[in-house]
Amino acid sequence: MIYRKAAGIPILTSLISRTSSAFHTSIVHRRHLFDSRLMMSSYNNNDIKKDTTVYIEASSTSAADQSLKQQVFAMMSNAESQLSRYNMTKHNIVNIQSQILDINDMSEFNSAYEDYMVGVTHLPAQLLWQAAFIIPDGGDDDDTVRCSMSMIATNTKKDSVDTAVEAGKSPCKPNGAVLPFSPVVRCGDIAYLSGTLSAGAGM
Amino acid sequence: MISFAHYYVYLVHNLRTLSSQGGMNEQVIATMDRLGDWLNSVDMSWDNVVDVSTVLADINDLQSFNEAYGNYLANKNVKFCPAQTCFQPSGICGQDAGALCEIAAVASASPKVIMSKDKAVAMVEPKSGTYPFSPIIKSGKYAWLSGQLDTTGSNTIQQTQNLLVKVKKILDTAGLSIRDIVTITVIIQNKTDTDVVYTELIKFLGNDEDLPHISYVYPESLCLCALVEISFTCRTEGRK
Repeated sequence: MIYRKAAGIPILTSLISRTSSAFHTSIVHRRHLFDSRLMMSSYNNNDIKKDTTVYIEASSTSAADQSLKQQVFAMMSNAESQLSRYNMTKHNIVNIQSQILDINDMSEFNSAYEDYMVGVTHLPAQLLWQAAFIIPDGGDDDDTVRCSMSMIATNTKKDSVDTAVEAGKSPCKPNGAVLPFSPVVRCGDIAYLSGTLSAGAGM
Repeated sequence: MISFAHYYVYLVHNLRTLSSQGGMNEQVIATMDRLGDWLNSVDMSWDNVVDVSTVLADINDLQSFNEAYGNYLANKNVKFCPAQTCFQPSGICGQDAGALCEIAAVASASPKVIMSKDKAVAMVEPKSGTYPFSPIIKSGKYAWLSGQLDTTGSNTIQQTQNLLVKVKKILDTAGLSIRDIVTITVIIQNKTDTDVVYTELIKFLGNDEDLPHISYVYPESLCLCALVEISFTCRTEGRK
């Protein structure tokens, strides 16, 4: 059951760390609490908020029987669960660094992500790459976690900009693959620019 | 100001004229021009860029990337190079169609704080013969440290310890403390080394219960064959 609830573990581990008298104690405590599959997630301090800005980490649930879309939805749901602690939602996300296990999944990943983000009128900036491995790994014999995201969210209003991309209206590559990210998101003094290529092969 | 329609047409044009975009220099120029357009759309320019994340299709292209990137900044009269983190992931977007690099950036409207001349923090001017990144850029309430690595250590533990010594010196010289760190990005060559890097990081952070946000990347290769690279973002008013 713990395995199935991996998406909720980051918050749990975070709470454990904050209620322990010493962080080293909490690490040891966590190692006793969780099996090696979940220990990986305790390397992250998943969500922190400074001023108006929240930094969070979200991975998909480790489950071989889940489609990539299901993993993306689980990951985003995990992210929104963390954001809700700060009265934020997916609308507050301004920048994302995405990792996927197979770059050939990018179209499917982008499509699922865009489906989840429907309603967001100014999609976050994004940089995506293929990672050799994604944390949490769920154990050495488990490589079913196919995507993760590191996100920045803020209460500061996104500046209105002509290039903003709305979920559901993303530009497409000639093969129909969607590109669900805004080129730039500016909030107050800070602007986040999406990863881009000259070759035009995807971004 | 560029319109969405302009961006879309530009994008589609690029998609169709792909594969013949030339070598690293041409790709870097085109990519940075596009980022420049995007910066202009929010009333900024390359001078406002404080932090750059670069992923390379092949880490062996690092030198040619650095030359092209540094020359571009110099040609745009950018006074100080942004901080930068660079690595080769297992794959980048468009790699099968000839993409050699992808660049993302963070920009700040606040002026960059001029650092002391101390080598640890001296801001780097883009010119030939120098690595085109500054060790740290302070702007507004935040500071961005370039990805730090060490190649003198013979294993991941030693490299982590050595690079954290460098980070401490950068922070001290820049008037920051470990408690100002808000995010850490750890890029580790071997996933089995995660535990030892994490342990060193926790020592470095002083067993603070209020840890920074930590994220992990497992790449194909790191610059200079390093085993670990770590970048930091700080909030100049403290993490608490």
